[in-house]
Amino acid sequence: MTINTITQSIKEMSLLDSIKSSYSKLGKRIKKIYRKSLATVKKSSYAKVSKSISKSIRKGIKSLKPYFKDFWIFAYIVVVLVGAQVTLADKALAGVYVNALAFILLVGLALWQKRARMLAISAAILPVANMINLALPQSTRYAQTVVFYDSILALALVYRFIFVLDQPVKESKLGKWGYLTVLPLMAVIGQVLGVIGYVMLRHHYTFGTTSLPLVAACTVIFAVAEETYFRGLIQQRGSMLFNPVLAAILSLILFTFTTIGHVTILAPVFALILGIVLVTTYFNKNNLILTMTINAVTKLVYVGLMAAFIFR
Amino acid sequence: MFLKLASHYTSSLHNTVFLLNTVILIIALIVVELVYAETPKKDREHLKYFAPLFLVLIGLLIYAAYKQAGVAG
Repeated sequence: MTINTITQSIKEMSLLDSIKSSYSKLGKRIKKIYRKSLATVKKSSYAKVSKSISKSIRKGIKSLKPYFKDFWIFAYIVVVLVGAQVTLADKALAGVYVNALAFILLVGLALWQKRARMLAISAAILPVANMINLALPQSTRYAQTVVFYDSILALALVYRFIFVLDQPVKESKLGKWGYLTVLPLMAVIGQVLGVIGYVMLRHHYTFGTTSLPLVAACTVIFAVAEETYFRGLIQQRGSMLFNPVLAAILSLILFTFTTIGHVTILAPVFALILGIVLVTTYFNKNNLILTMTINAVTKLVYVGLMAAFIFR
Repeated sequence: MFLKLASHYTSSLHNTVFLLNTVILIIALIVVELVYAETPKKDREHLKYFAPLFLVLIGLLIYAAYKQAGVAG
């Protein structure tokens, strides 16, 4: 009895062992299969994700392409003009050479690239104005600035006329009521900017002892010159060549870097703030009168506050 | 607020400007002679765009000559 039971139990044990081993084998197989399937799923999902990412990147690049059309011309003009302005502000003698080189490079671009001709010639006005300014020395800083602005204004007006004859542009024209409602708003924006300008630049007034009414009268001409050149030529002709946003950035960069000097960093910072407002206004409305209003009011408020609080 | 000008003006600076002005005008003459002398009129119509800028440079050259004559006189 006992022997029988023992043998039976041994048999059961061996059976159990075999079952156990078969279970463990099965488990291992299942694990293997599971791992394999997981790997394939992972692989396929990774592949899918990476494919979709690369697709979206390609799509993104494709969609961005029109924005960066002719980007090299943008970079060329920025590097040439900013280099000339910065060198001229830092070391005048070296700047004169760089300025002449900038003029030659821009004229070369205008001759070489037909589509960039108008923009390159417009950009070349700045080195020529610098040359006029350096060639005609004046006794005061104010007179020097007047010569500089007048040469920019004269050349910009001549070129706007020549270019419009060959390639007319659409300027938005507001009606009587449009101007009546929008111009006061522009004046308010100009006043706010003028106050900001006064806060930032009250210790860096450049015209010294020149009569303030005279300076105030001329600031309107300065504003007209700046707008005719930076918005009316650079931004307008730039938006015909590349994306209007890029043209606005070009106008903004040139406007900011032409105010750079070694006295204060606040001047280009304020020019950047003012430039963003002016560029955005021209970008949206395509109207020089509005930007001229903002710019002129900003300058007038600045000079007015200087007269009221600093020179009283 | 206002566009910045060169920090200081010396006579050597003026002389350099007039010298570079002359160099630019000579380069322009060479380019016109070499590239555009034998091209038909139709293909060099775009040169009119450069006229105002170079007229200004010629004006500066005349002014420099006048100034020199004044100094010599």
